[in-house]
Amino acid sequence: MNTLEKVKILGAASKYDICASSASPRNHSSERIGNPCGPGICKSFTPDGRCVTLFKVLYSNSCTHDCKYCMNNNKCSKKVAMFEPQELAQTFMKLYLQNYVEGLFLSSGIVKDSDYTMGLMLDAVRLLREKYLFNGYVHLKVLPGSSLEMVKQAAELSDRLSLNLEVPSKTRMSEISEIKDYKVDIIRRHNYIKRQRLASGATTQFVVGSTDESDFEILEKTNWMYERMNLKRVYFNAFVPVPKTDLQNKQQVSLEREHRLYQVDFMLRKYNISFKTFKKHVLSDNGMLPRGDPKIFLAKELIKEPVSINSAGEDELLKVPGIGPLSAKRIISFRRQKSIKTYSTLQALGVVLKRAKSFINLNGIVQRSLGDYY
Amino acid sequence: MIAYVRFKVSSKGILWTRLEEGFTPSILNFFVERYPLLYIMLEYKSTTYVKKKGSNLARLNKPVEKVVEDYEKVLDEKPYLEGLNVNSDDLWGEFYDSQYIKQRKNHKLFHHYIPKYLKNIKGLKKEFDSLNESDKITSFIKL
Repeated sequence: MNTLEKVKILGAASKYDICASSASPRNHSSERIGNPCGPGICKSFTPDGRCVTLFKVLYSNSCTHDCKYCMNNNKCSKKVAMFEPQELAQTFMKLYLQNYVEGLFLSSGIVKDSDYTMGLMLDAVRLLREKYLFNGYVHLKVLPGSSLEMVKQAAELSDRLSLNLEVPSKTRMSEISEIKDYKVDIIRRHNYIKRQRLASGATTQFVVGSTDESDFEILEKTNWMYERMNLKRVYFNAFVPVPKTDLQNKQQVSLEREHRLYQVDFMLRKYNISFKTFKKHVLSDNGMLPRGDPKIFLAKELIKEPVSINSAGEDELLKVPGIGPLSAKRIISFRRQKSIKTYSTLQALGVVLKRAKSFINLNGIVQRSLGDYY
Repeated sequence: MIAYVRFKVSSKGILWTRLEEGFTPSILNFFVERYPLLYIMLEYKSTTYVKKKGSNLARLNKPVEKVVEDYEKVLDEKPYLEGLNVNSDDLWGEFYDSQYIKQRKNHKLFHHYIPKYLKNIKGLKKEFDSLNESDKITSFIKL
């Protein structure tokens, strides 16, 4: 099989993995090729609107695991492909030098066992670093069940490590796989990752809706991972049924559900809003997020009186829909010079007025709602 | 802008390309920092700009292919670029096609992200062509 065919098969086999950033605070080196730079450089976009930043590929799509949602599982009939370390390193360098990609994202199905496959992946990355003098961004997947020694080596060679949780609990894992041990193969390995020094931190991913888990289960685990495992990001991937898998007839999960989870995740990370607050005020009895922006639901519960723009603290401002961490900081900074008197000033500071107006008090101006007249 | 420049690679340590309308040669400095061991050559409006980290900028009134040819005559093969001569976009084409999840098709988002001035750039031809591939009626029917 030639390299082009391998790229086609192993690229497609990795397309459900999510990697958003390629930013790493490592230093430039004038003796090497490439550098990890700031976030937000997208090299291209696919017709689904997702950005293509990294050369996202599997080392091999052969796998001993039996995850029911996965197109690479051991029961699926598929054309099997596998790179050689040299071949992978060379293929990546061609794309990097042509400026098509910003870094490498390498994952794999499990060939023989986790350590054997991790060893091959590490050989390829080592070649990149040592032979091709590559100094850019590398995101490596830690395979479930990998040894501490492999995780250590992976951390030395890469900027970011990740290991997918896929589901929020051991019980849910038993619904999709008979082989994977949630606590030993995944949570314990996250503990290994936590002990490493990583330039860009560690991440994980959920396949939302592969079992019948609720948003509450996912968000509770997300919060636990942030608090206990010091994760940088948690990604959510709405389940898409893949032909020839056990779950091929299961309903596709709406992208709106994925979007709502990201909105809550963002507020957990950036807005200092606790998971308990969401649990109490936003999540419905069945544990699902309601349709609509979670921040509006939260604001309706938490904001009893319109927030005074000229005197409220940062935490209070952050509760207002349409005001984010950046615009809250700008408002506070602007107030030190002079008070804010007009909506247009607020707009210039980055506030989304359409969403914020009914929750704020701007020099005594409060937008009325129909409810005020009943 | 720097994200959409596509280079050709010479294993003698040269990255080169011809810039299209809408780009500016000042992006050269970004690539000189990113690839400090290599010569960066950009042709823009019949002038080829050549720079390597630590050396001065050279402006030559020749097509970039000719400048590459001249430099290749005096440069040695670089061991860290062994087997990396690249002149085609085939590899990118295969990889790009493999990344699209059909069930998540969202052209509006695609157009939202890609700057308008890039719509006619050759480097993104693959991306825009892929949008024009319309679904066949049979793809909506479950057989």
